[in-house]
Amino acid sequence: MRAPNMLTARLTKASRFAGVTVAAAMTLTAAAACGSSGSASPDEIVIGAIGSYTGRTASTIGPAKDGIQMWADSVNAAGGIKGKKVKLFIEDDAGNATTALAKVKELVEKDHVSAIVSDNSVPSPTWSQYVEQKQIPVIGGFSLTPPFYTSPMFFPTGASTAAQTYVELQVAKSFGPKVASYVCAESPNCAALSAQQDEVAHDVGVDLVINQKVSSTAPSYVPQCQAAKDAGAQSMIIKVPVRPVAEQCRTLGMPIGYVSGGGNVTADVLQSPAGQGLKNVDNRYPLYVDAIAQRTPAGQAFEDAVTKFAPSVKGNVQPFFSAAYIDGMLFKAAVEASNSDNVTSESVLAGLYALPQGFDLGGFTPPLNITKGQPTVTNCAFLTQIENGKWAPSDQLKVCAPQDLVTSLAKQK
Amino acid sequence: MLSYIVIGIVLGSVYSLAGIGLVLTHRTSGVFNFAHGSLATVAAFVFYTLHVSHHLAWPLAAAVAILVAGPVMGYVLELLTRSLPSAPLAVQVTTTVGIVLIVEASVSLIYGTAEIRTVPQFLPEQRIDIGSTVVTTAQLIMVVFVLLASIGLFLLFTLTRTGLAMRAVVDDPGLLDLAGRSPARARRWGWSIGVTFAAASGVAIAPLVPLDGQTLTLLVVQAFGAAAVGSFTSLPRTYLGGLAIGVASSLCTMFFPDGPLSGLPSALPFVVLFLVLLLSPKRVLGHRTRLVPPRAPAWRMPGPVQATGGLALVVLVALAPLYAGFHLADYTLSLAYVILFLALGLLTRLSGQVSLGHVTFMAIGVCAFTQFTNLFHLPWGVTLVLASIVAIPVGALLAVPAIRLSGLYLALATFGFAVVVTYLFFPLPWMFGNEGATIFVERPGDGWLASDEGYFYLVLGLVVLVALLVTAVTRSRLGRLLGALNDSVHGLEATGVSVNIARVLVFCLSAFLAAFAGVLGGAGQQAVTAASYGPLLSLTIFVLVVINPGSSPWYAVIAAAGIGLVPSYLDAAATTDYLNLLFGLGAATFALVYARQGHSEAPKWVRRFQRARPAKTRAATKPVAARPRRPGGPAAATPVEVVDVRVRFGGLKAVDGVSLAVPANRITGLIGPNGAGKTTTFNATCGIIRPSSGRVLLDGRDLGRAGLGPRARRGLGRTFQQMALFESRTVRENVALGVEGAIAGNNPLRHVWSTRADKTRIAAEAEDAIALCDLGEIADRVVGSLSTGQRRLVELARCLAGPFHVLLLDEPSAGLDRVETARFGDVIERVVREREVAVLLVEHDISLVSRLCSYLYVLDFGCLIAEGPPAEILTSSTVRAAYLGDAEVEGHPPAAPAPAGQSADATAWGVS
Repeated sequence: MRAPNMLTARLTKASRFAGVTVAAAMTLTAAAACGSSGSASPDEIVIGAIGSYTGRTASTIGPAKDGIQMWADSVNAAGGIKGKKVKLFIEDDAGNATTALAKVKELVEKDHVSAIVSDNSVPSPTWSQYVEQKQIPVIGGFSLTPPFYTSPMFFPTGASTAAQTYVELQVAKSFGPKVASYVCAESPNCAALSAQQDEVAHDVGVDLVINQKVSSTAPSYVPQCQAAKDAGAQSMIIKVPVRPVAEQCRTLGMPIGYVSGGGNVTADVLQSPAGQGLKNVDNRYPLYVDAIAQRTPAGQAFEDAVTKFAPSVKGNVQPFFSAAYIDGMLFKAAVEASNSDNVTSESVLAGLYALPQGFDLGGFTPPLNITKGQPTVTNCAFLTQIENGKWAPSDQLKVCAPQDLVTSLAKQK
Repeated sequence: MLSYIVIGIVLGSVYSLAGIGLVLTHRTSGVFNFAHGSLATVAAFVFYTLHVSHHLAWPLAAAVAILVAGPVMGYVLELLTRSLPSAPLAVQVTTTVGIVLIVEASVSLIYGTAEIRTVPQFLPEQRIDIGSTVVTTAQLIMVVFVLLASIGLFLLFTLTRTGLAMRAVVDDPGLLDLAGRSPARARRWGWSIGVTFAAASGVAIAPLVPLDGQTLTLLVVQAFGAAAVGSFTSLPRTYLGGLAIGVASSLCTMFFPDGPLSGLPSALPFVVLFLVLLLSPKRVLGHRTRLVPPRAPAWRMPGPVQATGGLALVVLVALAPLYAGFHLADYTLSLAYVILFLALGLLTRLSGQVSLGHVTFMAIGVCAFTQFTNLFHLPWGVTLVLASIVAIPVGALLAVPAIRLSGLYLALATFGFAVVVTYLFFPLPWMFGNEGATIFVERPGDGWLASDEGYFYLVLGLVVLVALLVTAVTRSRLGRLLGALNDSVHGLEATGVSVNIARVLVFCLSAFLAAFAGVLGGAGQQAVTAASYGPLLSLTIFVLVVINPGSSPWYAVIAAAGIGLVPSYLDAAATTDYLNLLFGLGAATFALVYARQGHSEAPKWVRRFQRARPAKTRAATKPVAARPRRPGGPAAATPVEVVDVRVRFGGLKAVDGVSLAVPANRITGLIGPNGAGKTTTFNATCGIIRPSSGRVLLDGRDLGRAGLGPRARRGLGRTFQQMALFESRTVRENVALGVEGAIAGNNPLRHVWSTRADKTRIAAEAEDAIALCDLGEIADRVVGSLSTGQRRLVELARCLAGPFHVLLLDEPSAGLDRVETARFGDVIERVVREREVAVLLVEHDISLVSRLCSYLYVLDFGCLIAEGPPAEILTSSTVRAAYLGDAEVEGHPPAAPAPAGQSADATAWGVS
């Protein structure tokens, strides 16, 4: 009978070991989960920002992190909003949907933010329902992600996808009616843009002679250039890496118009001879262009803030950096429009609803028609172009699509 | 059109460049290097650092990146992968995919991702007008370089001794060693040249693409199609395949300017890969996969400990709502991942197949679920099951044609499938919505189950059920067949099992569970985007399934925690990079450990625990009479007839017009010197090799193109010269599979369903065969730990356990001592006497042949040179000349004929 007794003893030991392990793991995990909490003091306004600052989009979205931080620093240096300092929590999802949802939950449930300001999270559709349930407003950010024109809890500072598409085609049309378009094949939401271009092309009045999905890692874009040339395209909308396409098409001898937009123009395009003259449709106000920023007092305030709080980017301000600053400006406007002294998600929402129809933050956003319970679908985008290796103002700063058209397109989503 | 062809040649040259490098490494190392593009990335970054960052002249920077970094990386790779050609495919794939993860993460951590790094074109860029198009001198240099490199490498391989050695080391390193060439040196040369070529590709392609940790890897992945055209072995065909894909892609750009097929140019390399793998005749690709038995598992944690641990784990996880806080959704997702890992584990760890596209099945499941929810409004659970079922035909559609190739080609086909679905289907509205961006996935109802907590408990319950289901499958007949499939495909086929049915069944089950996981995970997130199901994620998932320790479900739990929970709790921005680096290093370490470890022993406490358990005892087996068993009615008087069979390997005639007959109730011998064609004749008879002409008749019926399995089902059993045992299983399990395989046959239901009567029959017949071969003493020992002689008897017992009326025994006494040989002879004689079977025996031991056989056929150089009774044949000068050479025969008069039934003088034959 010795063996069974030993077995029982060992099983008991094993169970005890397992129990201790479970208890220890629970304690550790609970300790980790209950770490610091972001409960706000009455003198603070707690907000969060989230973005895909690292990973595949780091080169474009990355600067947004510093942009929103600079806005918070400059606001706090000026005494805060309604006398309250802004406490900013920044979360990076690295483009990962799972991480994004966890980070947003952390902002809401642990840090107790009153709003998410500057959402540059590429997978934001995966957490939009959550913030809707929690009634946490999301103010500004990468406005081409669907929640910004489908969710009543998202308040854009830039163009909707439909508006962006319309304006890109409109700009392309300025070179002539025949347009070639190449969108990236790997990213389904990018690839699906080609269907929207097909829908909008007729309204704009362009002949979309080519509308293809192309790999972003293709070793050569010469076949696409040749096809555009043979089809008599007068301009080309590029949604894949701009530099190699522009360089290879120019080599092929195609003095046509190149149009890009939606944040895919990276710094290397500025330096490339082939990038010169490229028209860029920016979904957000191009405050990063010196000549544009200096046109308005608010723009000059932005440049002063850069000098004081982010001197390292002076002279090299990136689009997402300045856009994040504008996001902060809309939040400030909402808080100031609210009657409440206590800044909560409810008061921020009330402030947003209180903004007048067509409010455009002094021209820094498209006209915003914010209505409670309805998505805010914007209809305008902004234009810039590359000149002498730098961003420069275009002849026309803002181009708008018919509101009915963009609203109906948004409803299809 | 001419201009598109010209452009296509330029584009195709890049595919050819990458494809040739892939094939080169594959040919010289036996390893398909998924990391080829990553090695090119390293060289490109070395070049970038020297030329762009430190302004070194480009020729010097290129020389360092190609001629220094290339061979150094090749040397390291050779060390890392030295043992891989003899490792299971899963280990091979894991190792090189691990390098992909290491390089990607390292580049990201070292160089950051905030800046787009570009390499300016360093070659001259003058315009050259060709027809209506323009090419640059840089492009022309690339075209010429690739052409010359292809020719040069082809000549190196075909004309030089080094090239020959590099090819030979993959086929048979031992033989190369005997020929006086060092296999290690040949391997090192192969890797050095292959990786140097990868480095050259990296430097040449660097100016064409943005430089980061992924782009070149993805670009080389596009060259898989070119390599497939070259059957992964032929450099000239790979070169032409690359050009063809480039030209076709270029022409597609012209032909499909818009519409649904406008994504075809970018997907074409993968479509080609997929179609080549699906449609290529098996003879082109099939034989390239080396069938290597995996090592026997070292030890398993005792069952009670596992049960206690499992219960504790479930309790710990069930308490998550108390401590997880806002991380609860990640726990739910991690639970869904547990199911995904279990699904892939069934395929990879149990049956030894490799799928590199399982995340795509998750996407299919979640998209189907959303569609069904919107269309049919059925109960949530029903919709969940229906959506998961959608993955089954998709999996079958992929598996049925591709699975016949198995191994590496199945892995590549699944990867190609994942990329094609991502490129062509994900953007469609019925997959991820109108903008390909988001779909919302419903939870059950709107009550407690729809809350985070309620849904978490629902998923936890389903995970427990799936874990139990997977455990049940593993222990079922299907599980046993799949485990045997993992150990030895030929061994299992020889029992009569249709291995393709087993493969397709497990592939479909695995696809179903992956889709199930997809729905559960998606509903946990509530909204998903296509970006969550990228094809590269499947590679990471695969690596995690292979490298994580423990049996089912432990490896799945660890892997799911690693990919789901760790990032949730770690706040660092570079968490993903660090995790990928960790996974990659884990994969590389796994390869090194695999190369060095033998059968490790269980820890001391486990052994003490096992000793404490009362040992299972079985009734002692006693010798029993061999029962006559014969499927399909009485056998013909001469069950097997081989008529004028010819087998060619390229230009070599291995078997030339051989005819022989194997009558019932006696043992027929097939002898001849080494290389005479005996085993080839054997393989042609049992269906492993298809003869170029001639017929094989079984019971008077032409067996035609039937393979090993169908012939086994008609009563043709065999043993193998290179034993095909189920190494990780015990003697009893091996022998029982001889019966169980025959019961499963080619009936899918019988693969899954086992009756009580089956179990009784299997146990009884296995015990019969064990007793007949006197294996009772070692019946519960793992086959991998037995001596050669014992293993030969186990294989014989497995063959005897099956319902065969013809036995083909291929050198069964090889490795047996005299006592074992004598015992073997007794068993065979008894079987023939009591079962009325026909036996064809290939054997070198002339004493044994002389004792057992009543009729002999003699082969030499593939031709039948003599036949007749042993006494006559063994004294024939023609036969002696074939064995000993004419000169020897002239100097030694023939030995006196042995009396009938006794041994001839074996020493006179120089063999024993």
